Amino acid sequence: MRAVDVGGLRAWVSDTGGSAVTPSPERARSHDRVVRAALELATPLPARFGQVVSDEAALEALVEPRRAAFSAALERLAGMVEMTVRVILPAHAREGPALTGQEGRAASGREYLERVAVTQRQERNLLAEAGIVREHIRSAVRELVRAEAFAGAAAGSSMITVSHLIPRGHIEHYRRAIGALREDQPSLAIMVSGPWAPYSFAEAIG
Amino acid sequence: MSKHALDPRDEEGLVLSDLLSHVLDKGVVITGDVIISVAGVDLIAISLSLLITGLETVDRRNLGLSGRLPQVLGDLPILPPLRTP
Repeated sequence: MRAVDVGGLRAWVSDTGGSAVTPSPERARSHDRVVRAALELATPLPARFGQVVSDEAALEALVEPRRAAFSAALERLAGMVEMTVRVILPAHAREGPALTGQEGRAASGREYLERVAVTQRQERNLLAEAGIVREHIRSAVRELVRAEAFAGAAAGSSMITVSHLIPRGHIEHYRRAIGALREDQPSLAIMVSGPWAPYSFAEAIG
Repeated sequence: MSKHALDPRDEEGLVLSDLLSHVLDKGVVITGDVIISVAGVDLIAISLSLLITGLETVDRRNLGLSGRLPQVLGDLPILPPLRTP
């Protein structure tokens, strides 16, 4: 790992020896360890894993046009960390009425349409439940957060992810607020992780 | 269950899933060829770790990266508030 100075900014890079590296959980951890080392010094802009440039000149050519945006983002994120909450929605939001003949192909056009209707109803239920849970979370931590990034329940998924940008000094308050929410909403499986570097709040740059 | 399964209801799976969703799916993108997704983690080649910081903040301390960072995401240190540079 080494640092490359580019127009008043510093990029932390590692040399790959010219060969491609297969991603793995351990390499993802290594990437995050570097990001965490930076986070101990000051809030960085974490780069997405897996970006390869041929040399320092190529890196400079990519960073230089974005220098103002990076500087503005660093200023905006200074003193902040990201906390992430994941919630598995309760069973009643995931399950719909059982249909006979659910396995295999639909026996008739009518049965097919019934299945489609049930699927759509389940997706609507999930979306509605996700919205309610998002509001619960928002209410619990409203006073602590500066920004929110919401990844709603994707089709077929019953888990929502909400990331918050919070001042470093609020980490324990945030954990306590989520803990209180967990007690208030025992039907929800609520998990919190962090502090992270602000991965979810650095996406729009570049 | 596979050691690296991404079942969020499994604690180890949750920790890894959280790590991968942050590291592989978020963050600044400056090259146009990032094609990694969480689902494709075993398939796609990567190499460079890169992040951007302000020069003066990094110059305040030596980095000393190895051997002092937490390995377990569930047991992270509480970061101290920063002074404004």
